[in-house]
Amino acid sequence: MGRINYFLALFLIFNFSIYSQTKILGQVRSELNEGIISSSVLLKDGNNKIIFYTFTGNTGKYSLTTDKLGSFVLTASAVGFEPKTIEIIIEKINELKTIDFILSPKVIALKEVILETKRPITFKNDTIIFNADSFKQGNEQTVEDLLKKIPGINIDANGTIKIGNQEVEKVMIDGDDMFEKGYKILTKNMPVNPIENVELLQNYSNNKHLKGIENSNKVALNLTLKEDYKRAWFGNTTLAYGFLSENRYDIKASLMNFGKKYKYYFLTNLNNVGYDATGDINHLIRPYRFDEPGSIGDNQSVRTLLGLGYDTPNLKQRRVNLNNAEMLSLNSIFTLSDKIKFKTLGFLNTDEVDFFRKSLQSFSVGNTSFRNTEDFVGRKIQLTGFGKVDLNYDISKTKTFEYSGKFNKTNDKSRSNLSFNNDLLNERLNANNQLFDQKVVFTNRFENNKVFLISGRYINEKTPQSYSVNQFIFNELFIENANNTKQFSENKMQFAGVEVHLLDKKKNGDLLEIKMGNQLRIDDLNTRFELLENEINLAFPNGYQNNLTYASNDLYVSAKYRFKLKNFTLFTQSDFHQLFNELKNFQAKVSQNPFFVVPKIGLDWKISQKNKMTSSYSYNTTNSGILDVYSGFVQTGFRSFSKGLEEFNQLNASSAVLNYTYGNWGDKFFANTFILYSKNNDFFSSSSLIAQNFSQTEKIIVKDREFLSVSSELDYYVKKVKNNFKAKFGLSEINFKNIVNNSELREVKNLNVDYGFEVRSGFKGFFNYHIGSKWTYNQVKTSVQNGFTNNMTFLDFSFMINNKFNIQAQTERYFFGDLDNKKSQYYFLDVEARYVVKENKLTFMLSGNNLFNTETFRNYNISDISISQTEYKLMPRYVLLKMEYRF
Amino acid sequence: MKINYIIKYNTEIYNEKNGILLLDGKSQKSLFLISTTNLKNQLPKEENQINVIQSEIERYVITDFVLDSLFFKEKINSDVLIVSENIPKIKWALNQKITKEIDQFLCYKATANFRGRNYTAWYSLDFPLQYGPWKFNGLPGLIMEIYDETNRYYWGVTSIGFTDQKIDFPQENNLYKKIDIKEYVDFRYEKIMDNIDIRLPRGTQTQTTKPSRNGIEIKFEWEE
Repeated sequence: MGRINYFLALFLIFNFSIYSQTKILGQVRSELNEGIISSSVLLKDGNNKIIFYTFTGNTGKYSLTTDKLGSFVLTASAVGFEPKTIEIIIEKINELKTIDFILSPKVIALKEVILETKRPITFKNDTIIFNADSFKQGNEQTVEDLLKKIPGINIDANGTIKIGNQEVEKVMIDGDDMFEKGYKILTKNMPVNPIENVELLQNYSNNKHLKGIENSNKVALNLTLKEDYKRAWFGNTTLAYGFLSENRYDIKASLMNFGKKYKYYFLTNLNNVGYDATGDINHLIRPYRFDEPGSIGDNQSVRTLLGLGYDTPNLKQRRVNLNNAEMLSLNSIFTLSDKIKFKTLGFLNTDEVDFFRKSLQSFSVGNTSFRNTEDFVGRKIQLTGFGKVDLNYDISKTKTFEYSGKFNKTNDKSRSNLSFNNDLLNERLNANNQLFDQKVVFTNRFENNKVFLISGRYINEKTPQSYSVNQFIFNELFIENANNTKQFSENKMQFAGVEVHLLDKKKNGDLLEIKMGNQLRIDDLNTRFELLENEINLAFPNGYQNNLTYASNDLYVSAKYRFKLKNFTLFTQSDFHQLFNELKNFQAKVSQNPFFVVPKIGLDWKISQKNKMTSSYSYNTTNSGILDVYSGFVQTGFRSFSKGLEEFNQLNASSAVLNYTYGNWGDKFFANTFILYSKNNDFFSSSSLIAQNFSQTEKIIVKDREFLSVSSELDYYVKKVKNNFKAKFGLSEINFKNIVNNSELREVKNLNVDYGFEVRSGFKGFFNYHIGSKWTYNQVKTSVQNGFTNNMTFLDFSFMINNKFNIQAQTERYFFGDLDNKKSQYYFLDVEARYVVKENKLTFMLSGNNLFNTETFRNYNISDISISQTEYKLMPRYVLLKMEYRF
Repeated sequence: MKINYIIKYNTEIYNEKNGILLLDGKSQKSLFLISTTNLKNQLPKEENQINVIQSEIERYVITDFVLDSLFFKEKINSDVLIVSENIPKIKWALNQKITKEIDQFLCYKATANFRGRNYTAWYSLDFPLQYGPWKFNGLPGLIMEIYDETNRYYWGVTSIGFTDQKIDFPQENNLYKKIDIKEYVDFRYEKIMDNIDIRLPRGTQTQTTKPSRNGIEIKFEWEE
């Protein structure tokens, strides 16, 4: 009965409907006459195409409709039953068909099925490989466009590539790196078609054999190229020309070509807007590998003794660098075979930099006090040539040999007009730098978790300088009736080192490192100071000459162990050094063979998910260098001389570091505090003789110096107003003793405190701001106390009108306390507008620099002997119209 | 029945999870469980590293065809939520001409736009079931594989098992805050702190574009 009612009801509804449809209904039952719930009913046409499908409800009933005519197949199926098919013919519309199914149980028992399927993305240990073609949608132009389509990879508006929140270390091509952190030039320019795979490398190590052994959390990308890809040249160019100002320009071009075997990259830049183009390739010249195996000799360099006082105020580079630079760089990689790779890099850079400085210094020490005025106009012309060759030879899967050779030559020519009090001085300085650097590294991963490295290095660096002043202001020092002076100096360094390094990763993750090596450094310091009358030499004054050879040989063993215990990570390090020092001064020879141990211990404690602490303590012994031991005075400026201690020493210091972090970076509240305390048991201080026309400083050893540095930062994000508040606090204090003008040892206390805040908006709209202010308090305390407070406040705006057009404005205000005249405030405004005509193809920019046209900037400075004001000339206002084009 | 899926969230940090689809054919209910731990937790979390992955809770989706209701458990920031909605009706376009074999099973292609993403699904008529992973449902056969066009989200069957075990449907409605789907959208996308560039020091040029929705669901029916 019920069934009939049901049919009747449907029939009535059906008749009232205005659509011409055929309705099929029925029930799917088992052989036991029970309705089968959730069985599928498919209506297929003659071509076996599903035109309608449905599932039975809780009584096994179904209904479906169609507006089609012809012959059809109706299939009912359910899990655990054999499907059943019934052929039906629908001849006329508005028909009602009732079709029931009775399904018989499946004969074969139901078993678990495990599927073997191909995955679109491949994994190989720490590498995720994305096939480029599967991610392309056809509208990609550059590599960046492709990377944007690969979901795990985030690229922000200026091209920074991040995995999660971590920036990638580099983007390689077929395992070759040409750009390191400057990879944007590649990803924003390289066309997408040659790319086969994108490989995401995790826990990345620069030395592939150290993978999985050293503790690394670096991420890198590697792009593999298609085998048959035809090489093509591509690149970009930026042209900028200034108006509303004198002739300002900035021209930049890069050109690249990457093939399986040869890879080339050319870069050139010409500008006079204060931009240091060598910064773009600096990472290629001196790769930054801190504390990595095989980095022997990286910390060895020669320092020059004399400079023309080219200091600049602490402002943005483009405000103070009055330059005129041209740079050309050529880089290539040749893959000679599967095992051998050859890299070359060369660059040429010329620069002409102008300096303008006016200063007033008031000295006051004991009973002596005087004032000096300097008006300095200088120009430096620099020419640098640099070449580097790298060879990489994979001897086998576990063994690699690397060679790296560098050559650098820099010529500096400087001259100045200096009006010192009432004298007009001309200074000339010709300085060179010659560097020859050879390194070999052999790596052998002799067991899966053990690596053995041998590295050797030879460096030869020379810095000759010749300096002359056309006036004689040292009447108080020398009796000769001279009218000009000259100094020639050469500081030459040779370094040779061999190091054996073993890394052993234990099964539980602990890492043991043992290093053994010998490093020899020989320094030659020759200086000749002479007094002249016109061109005639009057004297080489005694005590102003050096002819010194200092050889220091360090034989050392270092052991490091890092282990983890629950929330603690403890690492201990002990360095044992046996030194052989020899000093040859003119004919006198002294030597010394000290032995010492440098212990270091560190503890990281993860108190909880939100509280983390790291700490370390070390007891250091530092061997004196060449600049600590020379015995004759060397001229270091037009009115200054300095000299070393005449003997060698090892100085001891202890230092402790504590860092505490609350919260994780993305948390609403995040705070970090860093404390460093170090105490020098003995240290190099100075004994100076200061007069109006000269200063003589010599090194002395004094006991006890203390240094404390505290810095704290706090972030708080306020959700309601979508603003982040940041507070910063820093303090550094240093207490030491020195001697001035034959005084007793006098105590000097330097205190530096800074504090500030920042507020930055995170609005979703087109407008955002960032405001902040920072106060710095400097205090120097001797027998008198001097102190002043400076302030810097900034306010930045950004307007993202749309994806194609945005404007950024930056304003700054500098305020200097305790300057008596009115010019103690400086305002700056920079604006940049950017319009993208076609993404990654053509962009126009209008950038205005120093729009308030603040032409000079005056600094205030205090030290334990003087108070000084210095005025610098700045880059005047200019507006550049820039065009960026990719080809 | 018990169907195991592998889930790949190819999101900011790639990770894989296990999904288990449990079917109660008699009461026309399904439970889709999402594992707590990542199978492949890619980036090692170092101290102080910028890392904003939420510590995962076990998420699940309960679909009830009799009551036409769907519940899912989610965690947003530190809030655990039970979100309710009607079973979404997905307008599938079937294309029976395109087939592929997943292991031994012949699968047919179906495509649909669901809440802002374009999905491709491969279903098998060997398993006449209208269920699928997560909120997916309504194909003539079991969804063996489904992914969105950007490959950001992926679900694929790894094994299919038959069990008579009674399914324990979680009864947690009283434990957590219960909201409907519209409130959820507000929670998920409007209130979240989604811009950490705001912390960066000055000079870092951030050209923050309007943060886009980045979850599985990015556009909802009532927003169209």
